[in-house]
Amino acid sequence: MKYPFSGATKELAKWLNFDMASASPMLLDRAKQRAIEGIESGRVAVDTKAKGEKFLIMEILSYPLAKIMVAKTKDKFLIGKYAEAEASAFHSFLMNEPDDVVESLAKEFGFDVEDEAIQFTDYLKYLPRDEDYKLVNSPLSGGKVRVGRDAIAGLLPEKLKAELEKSLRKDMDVPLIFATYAEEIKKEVNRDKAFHTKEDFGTVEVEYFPPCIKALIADAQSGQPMAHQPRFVLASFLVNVGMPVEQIAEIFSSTPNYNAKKTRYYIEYTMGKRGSGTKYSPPSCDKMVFYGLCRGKDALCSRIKHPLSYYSRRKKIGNKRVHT
Amino acid sequence: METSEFIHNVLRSYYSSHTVPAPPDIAEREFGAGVDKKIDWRHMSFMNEQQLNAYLRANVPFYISYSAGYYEFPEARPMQKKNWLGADLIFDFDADEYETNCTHPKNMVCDICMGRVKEECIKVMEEFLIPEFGFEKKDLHVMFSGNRGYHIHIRREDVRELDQNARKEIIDYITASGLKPERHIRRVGKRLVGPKPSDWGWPGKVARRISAEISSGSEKSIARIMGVSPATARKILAKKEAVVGGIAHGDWDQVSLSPKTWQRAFGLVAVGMSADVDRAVTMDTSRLIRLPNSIHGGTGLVACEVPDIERFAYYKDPVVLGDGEVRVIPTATMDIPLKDKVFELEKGKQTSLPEYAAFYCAAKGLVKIWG
Repeated sequence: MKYPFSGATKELAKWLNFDMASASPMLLDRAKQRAIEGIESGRVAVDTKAKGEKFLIMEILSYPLAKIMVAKTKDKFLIGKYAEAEASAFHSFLMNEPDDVVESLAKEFGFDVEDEAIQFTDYLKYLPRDEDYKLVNSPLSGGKVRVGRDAIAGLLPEKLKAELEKSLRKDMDVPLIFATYAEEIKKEVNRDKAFHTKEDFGTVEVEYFPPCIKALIADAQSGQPMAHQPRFVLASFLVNVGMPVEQIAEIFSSTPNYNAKKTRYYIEYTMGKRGSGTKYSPPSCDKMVFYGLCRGKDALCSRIKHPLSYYSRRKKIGNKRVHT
Repeated sequence: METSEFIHNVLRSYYSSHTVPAPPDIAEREFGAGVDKKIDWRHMSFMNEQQLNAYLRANVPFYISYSAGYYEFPEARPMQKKNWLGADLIFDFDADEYETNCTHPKNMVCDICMGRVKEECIKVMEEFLIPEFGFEKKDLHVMFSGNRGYHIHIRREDVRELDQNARKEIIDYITASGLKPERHIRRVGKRLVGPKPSDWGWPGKVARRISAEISSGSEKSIARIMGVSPATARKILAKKEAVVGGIAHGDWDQVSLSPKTWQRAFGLVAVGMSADVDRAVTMDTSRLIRLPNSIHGGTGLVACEVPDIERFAYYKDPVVLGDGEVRVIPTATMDIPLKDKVFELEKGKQTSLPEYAAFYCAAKGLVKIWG
């Protein structure tokens, strides 16, 4: 049920003899909710603890319905965000699955895994943008890349995302009611929230921020004046991990001469919602060192090059000790 | 006669009497052609070989290129409207790009620079594309550009759809960019763990090279290749068998060197084993590249597929123009080896050259056409 796109689930829907046209309003509402939540939070929330046959079936069926609704919005931004959100939920489930489940899903996704290796072209097509997966550091021989379960767990969501995006951009011949729901999604979805997350970081977890950013937060809250550069670094980092504007403003609120309106404008500027429309990323570690803002380096720092990678890595591994 | 008029006449007669075969999937390719520049016009397309040759005969371009990319609408513009369907995977090796100690002017070539280019092209095939990327020899189409370089074209279905990021990964692999030694040799607990020679990819490659060097190298060569001091090299050599034996099963702890030292050696060895390829050409999925079997207007040599690069002679095999005599006045004194001869030009001294040599020299600005 965590994998509503898997063959088994599709079979179930068929067996239930499900007909889209007769979907109940309750089911349609759940599907709409699933779409909106996904787009806004960057991760589709799946209620895996749904109890009772009726609710279970609703969870399963809401997936294809949400998909159709999003497709019907014909809005590239929403489609991209929704595909990302499904992929992200998929990834977090995969990380906790036993090897054989990951393996069988890989097969179902058309990855030809043989002796723990896949064709390098398949590997490159669905490569997550993460240092960990770079081909140059991967075991390549005879046209195959040897992949462990973690690598597969990284590739599958990318493929899901690509396929979802492709299929959602196609025109679908579906009952009119879906167009109505699509309009509702377009109206109700909070684009600001969705805008935050270029990469999906899910919920913001300050605990996993890199030491340099934690130090900047401490500075901001110390009541001491803060120079432009550190202010920009902190704001752009927080924007990129998807912290809401209000919460970011809050962090800056103890700096001297705090001006709520200006701060808000400034944060939105960083987000690309004002001015040139460019969304800014925080500087790389090299630049942070150059600016004198690299502070409190820890073991993980020596393995990453960008404060945002620190965060995404930490979110994956939690507080596990990092070997240097 | 003006040089450009002469070149035009030769090319017109060549294209009137020869048929340039269509590149594979011609209808999905964009074409570009030029007279003054390599590409004066682009966004052209031809449905078939006849159309292409009709164009060549009517317009007599000095240069003609076609796209590595496949498009639904190759003549549409701007680029987005073409609807990109895929692209051949291309590697480009150009004599311009390599540092050599040739002494000739930049627009000329010699055995040193062309040898260097050939060597690099072979290295990419023999050490990367075949063993590691798993291509078969028949997948790799080596092309002579008609002037100073070679291309490798790979048209296999599964590489066509690779995007720029994927192609960057391939280039990064071949050039060892972004290789992280600290990922491959590191402390696990108290032990220093590293790659085994049997491992796949860069780690295995480097382990094999380092093992081989320690087994049979000298103090001096080890110091140079691994970037260590002679004293360290001596220390390694003193425990040679143990070190090589350790590496054989991934244990890099048989001689007391710091992880940093091994990691630096790993990096240096990898750089030495990496190849030098033009990044931009491989990553550009809309690149226009010289059309095989067309004449390069800057040399009169034919751009052509090279069946056996080891035996290919850049000054001889691509000579296809005729040998009717053309009277010329050299504007420089220089020896030009072409086909089976060496033409000795002497500045100001009128002479006659076979058409192919007159074209080559005139296009390079070494002679003026007399009469």
